[in-house]
Amino acid sequence: MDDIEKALKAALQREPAPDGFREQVLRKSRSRSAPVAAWWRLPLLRWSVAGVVAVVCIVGGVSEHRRQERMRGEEARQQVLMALRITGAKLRVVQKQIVKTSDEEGDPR
Amino acid sequence: MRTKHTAIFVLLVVLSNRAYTQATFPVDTAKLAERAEETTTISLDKNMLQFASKFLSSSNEDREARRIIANLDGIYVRTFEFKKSNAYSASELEAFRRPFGGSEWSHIVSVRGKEADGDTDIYVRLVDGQIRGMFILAAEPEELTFVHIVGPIKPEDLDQLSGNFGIPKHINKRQPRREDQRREDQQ
Amino acid sequence: MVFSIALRITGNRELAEEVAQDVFLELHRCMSSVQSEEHALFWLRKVAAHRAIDAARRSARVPETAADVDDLPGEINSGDPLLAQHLRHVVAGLPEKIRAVIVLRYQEDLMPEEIAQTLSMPVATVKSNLQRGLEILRRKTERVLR
Repeated sequence: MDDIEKALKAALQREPAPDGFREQVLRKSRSRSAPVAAWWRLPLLRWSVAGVVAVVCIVGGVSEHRRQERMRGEEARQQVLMALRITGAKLRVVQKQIVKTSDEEGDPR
Repeated sequence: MRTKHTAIFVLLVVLSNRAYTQATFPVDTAKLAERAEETTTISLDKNMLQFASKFLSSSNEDREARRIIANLDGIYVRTFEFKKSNAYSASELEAFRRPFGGSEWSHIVSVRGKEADGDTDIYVRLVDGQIRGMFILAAEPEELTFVHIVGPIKPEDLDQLSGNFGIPKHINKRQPRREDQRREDQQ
Repeated sequence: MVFSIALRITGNRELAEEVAQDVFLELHRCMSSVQSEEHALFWLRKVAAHRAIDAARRSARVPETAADVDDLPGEINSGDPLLAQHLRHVVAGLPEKIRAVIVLRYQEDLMPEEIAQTLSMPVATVKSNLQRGLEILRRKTERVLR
């Protein structure tokens, strides 16, 4: 371990939690078993829940949007290919008919 | 002067309406849909083509498709499959061909096959000598297909598609050549 | 441990307190799935690091001065206190992921493989982040070390 790493170890020693932190957590954890309506009174919990819901919605929304866009894109791709295949099939029929006609004309009688 | 401006304005409105109609589908196929057992409808305007292009893969067919649609303004396909033959009349077919009798369109292929083969007409829209659209009407006993391609299609595009989409080479041959060839043989 | 990880990663005491409380409340909710003390420690570090990184990104706040991360004098066993303060300030200014890697390595004494598991990151990425972090710290600390 070089100088900077030793200095980092010394600098990043654990910082203790502020006074009363443990009691606050215990109090909040007990109040969680209280009626559901009470949860909104706890700013931290409200933030946490709102934060989680917001994160889930945003992440879910973006993922869902992308999934739907991919589905629409794939559908559009299939339509393009089908349109070109149908066009090709019809023109192939024309070619066969033209070739057939040319063969008949070329047949000496 | 005012009358002239009004007339020009009306003309522009009419032309722009026609252009809009032609840009999507130049024939009315609603009655066919009522009789058809199965209908396939594909309507891809420029935006949809550009959107679809992003999802085309690197396979040969997809690459060709991407190249062909790159400059197109639209592809519109209507296919009607019928349970029995003679689900449409000769006069109906003529009505479908009529919009392409004007100066805007050139009738480049007219094939009248035997019963099973059906008839096919291909029209191209020329602007300053360049193809700016194509319309295919393929009439088989139990199936009618309309294909409208809007935008620049090069003959080599169609040639290149052969093998991937089955586009034949050298489609610019008109049936009436048969008459000319007969006259030449007789000389 | 949890508060300290949150503090070093968010660089903000208030935010660290919120994150730490959140982590413990989450642990309280998931107590039935904790299998051992070791598992609990791993779980706490993992969730604390992830929540702190998220909180740091959301706040996108880089401490203006060393005082932002050094409100209390704190007990530092060895080394130059000024250097320590400087290092903490520089660490607080690192990109969040690199910051988390440095904190887990030098505060929690985790090996790169353990850090990789905690942060759900490939080991190679952990090592490269460590290297980058140390390079930045060296560069910004050269004058102080002389």
